[in-house]
Amino acid sequence: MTNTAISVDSISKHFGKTVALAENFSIEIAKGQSLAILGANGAGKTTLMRAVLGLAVPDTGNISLYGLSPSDPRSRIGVRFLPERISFPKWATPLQMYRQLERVRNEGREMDFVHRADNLACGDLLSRKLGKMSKGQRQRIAVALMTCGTPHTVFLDEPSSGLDPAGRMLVRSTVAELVDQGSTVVLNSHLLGEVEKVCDWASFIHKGALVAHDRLEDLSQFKGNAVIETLKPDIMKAALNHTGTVKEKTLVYPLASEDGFAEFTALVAGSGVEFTGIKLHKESLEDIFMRIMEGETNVS
Amino acid sequence: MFLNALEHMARRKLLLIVGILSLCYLLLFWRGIASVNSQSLGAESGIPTSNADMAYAALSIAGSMLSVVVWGLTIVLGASILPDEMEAGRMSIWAALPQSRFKVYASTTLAPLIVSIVFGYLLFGLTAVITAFYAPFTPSSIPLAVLSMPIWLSATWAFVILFSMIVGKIPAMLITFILEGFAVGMGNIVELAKGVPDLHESTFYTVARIVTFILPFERGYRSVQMGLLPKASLLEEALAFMGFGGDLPLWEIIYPGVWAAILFFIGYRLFLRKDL
Repeated sequence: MTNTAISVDSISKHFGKTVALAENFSIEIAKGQSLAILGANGAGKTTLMRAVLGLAVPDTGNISLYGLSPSDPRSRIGVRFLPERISFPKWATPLQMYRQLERVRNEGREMDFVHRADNLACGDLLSRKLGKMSKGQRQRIAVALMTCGTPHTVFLDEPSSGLDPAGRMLVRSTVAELVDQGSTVVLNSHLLGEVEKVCDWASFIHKGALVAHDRLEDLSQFKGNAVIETLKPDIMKAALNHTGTVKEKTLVYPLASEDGFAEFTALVAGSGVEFTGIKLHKESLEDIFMRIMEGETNVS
Repeated sequence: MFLNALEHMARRKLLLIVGILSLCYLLLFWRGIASVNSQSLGAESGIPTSNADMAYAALSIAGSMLSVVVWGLTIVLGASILPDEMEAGRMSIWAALPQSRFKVYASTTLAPLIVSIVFGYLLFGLTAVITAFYAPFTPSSIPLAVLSMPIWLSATWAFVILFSMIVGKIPAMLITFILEGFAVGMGNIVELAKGVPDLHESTFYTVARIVTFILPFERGYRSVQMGLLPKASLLEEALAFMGFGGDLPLWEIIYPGVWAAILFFIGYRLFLRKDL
């Protein structure tokens, strides 16, 4: 039995003369993977998501969702999609919307939705008309509608759009919960700090082309340092031949390569100075994003 | 999905407005028909008239007014449903659920047709009932009137839905209104020619015949009236001489339904290729 959840094979998509997805766009997403799709505005991230769900018809190529064509309704059983922009009918309450969705998908229980709404701090809004809610409240409801129960695959297009910091944190923990329960999560977001916390994989799209697709840890490059967390950074520095830079409660120590990290850890442990953590200094997702996108911009 | 679409449809203020106006109309019609009697119809000419004549006159006059209401409702609801759902971003949610695009398309578009047909039945049916109360009559063929209603409205519905996907909501409404008016005018010429055989030779008649074939919006309405209006009235005979209310061949009764089915299918093909 294949482990592939989503397979995109050599597709392309144009809107008139505008290239949304360049020729031979291919990507594979494994079951249970949490993937962030990253790129500048208009790079083709949303189009990719829509093509996978059968909402946008590619000009060329093939897509399969759990081995089935997106045109086959069975491919979307257990699949959820939260679009970037959605306007609910003003007359409807969240519970009415949930019941409308369930009439078709028939996958969940109302208590799961109520539970999810409670987790997103919008459980008290379930009987209020959506037309009488703020944008942020509606977005929380939308996230609850699309993530309740146990979907096996979830596509989220800018789920934190319009949310306050507390709301973003709740959405992030919702996504983390989905990842923990084994759902395949495809996330499109510009909030790199949040993406970094919930996704294991990232795909970078530039002008409709896939320029990088890998595990975040493999995409992140070594920045030439090890970081030691200690309450006594000055004493630690002295113990390590007065090498490195003290930054608050850390000592940033230069390392020639990642290979020497194990040996260096032993050296730190043998120094006799207390420390709470030690790690390689690697690029953050923001660093990776800037490096890849700047590289692509320079190339193109 | 069909229930969802009906629920969305039922919440529209337009339906409430049309409902209230329809009630007002029915009350007025009731008051109007209650104030006349069949004898007064022929009082001026001295021709003795019957209840059937009165029913014929009442239903002919009311019918043309009701047809505009039901046509208008079909056009406005039909033109709104797909563009509104797409513009609101909801269509992508419905289409991303485990259901085929055909189901999404058919369920969403059938809802306004069903609502229009129900309105049509209620308006024409209640008008006929009120009429029969004051001027007892026997409709020519109730089954024909009942069967013709969906056929009549489906032609307008399929056309406006197809055009709403091509040109958008408002232009689709305007185009349909204009073409409906044109088709009704041409249909009148075709009917008139039934009583004036010389007209058959004219180019005008040929054009009118082609128009009723290309745009069969009013054929169905005529067959609704054909089934509803009483037989054996003086007015029927008089108007039949002029072509109005004359019989339609079976193929002309069925044809608008076939035409609507073809347009519905073309609309589906367009919807299938649309990015939602």
